[in-house]
Amino acid sequence: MSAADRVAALVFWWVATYSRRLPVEVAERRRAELVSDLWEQRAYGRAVGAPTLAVALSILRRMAAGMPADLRWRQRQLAAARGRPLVLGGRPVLRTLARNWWLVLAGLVGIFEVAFGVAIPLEEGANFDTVGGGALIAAAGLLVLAGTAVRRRRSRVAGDIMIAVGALPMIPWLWIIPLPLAGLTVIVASAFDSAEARSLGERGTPLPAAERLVLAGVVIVAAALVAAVLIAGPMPGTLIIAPALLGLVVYLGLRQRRRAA
Amino acid sequence: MRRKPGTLLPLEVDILEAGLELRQTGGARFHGFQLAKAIADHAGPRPLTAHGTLYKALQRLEEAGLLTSQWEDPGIAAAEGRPRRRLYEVTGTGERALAGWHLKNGQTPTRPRLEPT
Repeated sequence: MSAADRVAALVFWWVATYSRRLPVEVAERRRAELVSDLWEQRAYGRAVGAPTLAVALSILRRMAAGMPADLRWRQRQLAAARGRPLVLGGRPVLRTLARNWWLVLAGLVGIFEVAFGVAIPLEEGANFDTVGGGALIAAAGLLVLAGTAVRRRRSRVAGDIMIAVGALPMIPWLWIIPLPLAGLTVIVASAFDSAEARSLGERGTPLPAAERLVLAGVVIVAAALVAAVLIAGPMPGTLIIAPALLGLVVYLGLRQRRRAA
Repeated sequence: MRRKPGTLLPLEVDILEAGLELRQTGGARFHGFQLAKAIADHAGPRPLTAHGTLYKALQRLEEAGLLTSQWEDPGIAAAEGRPRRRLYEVTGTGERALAGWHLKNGQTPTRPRLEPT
């Protein structure tokens, strides 16, 4: 039994739970529709060569996200069975928010990291450690914000990875419970979203070569920064970062000049 | 919150538009996962609609007369070695409701060749 089959079994259990004591034909129709839906999703995943874990996570997300609607549906069916129709609606804005809640949270995490990264040297005095650490956290925040744009415009998977990586600096602040909780939630949600994109065989629009180079430059600088702050110390760290920074600046300058020409 | 009679929720608009698009590209009838996939494909990087949200909306649209549905022939499903599909179809009322929604909201249809009938 694959991971997707196990999660499908979990969905069947959930359907059986929320359709308990409903009219038999109503419960049976919902169950049969879910049997078909889950079979089709797994078959589609196999057809596009999606990893079974990605399909499983996608099914799990669909189940979890639909739970409030399932419970409202049950409430409505029970009311109908008792002869009291129940009309439920909702504000479109709230529905959109409910669907994209984790992206809103990711945006808040990104903004917080940028603000926090800038605040560290201002609050604690500017030295190499505070500036380096602050820059690292602010860069992570920018990565989260860039990830939300990449996810929308280029590649959902790449954007999700950027968001997850960018949210990592929130995790070590264990003594301030909401911060690691928010970071972890964003990381888990982006992992689920990325898995679903993969389960659908989404490839996204590949980045142009120039943008790939810029991204590689940013990664090199970020890696150098981490090495400088965590391992090498201020002076050797500067020596590590300087060539990468210089290379990036030269590249961007040449690119700008070519564009102007 | 009660909604005004005759209004469509965003997901209902998506369902009707996707249903009409599927009609243009293949058969007139579609099943749940096919619809979820079509909506996700159309709306860019959007996740598949959750089970509970999707099937609740489909039922609501069917009760409003904007969709019809029926189980497919069990023989076809058995021959293809899969569970039976519940097949949905956008009705004329559904098409008119969607066209009316577009007129009211001043939006052009986002899917191709969507004309009121």
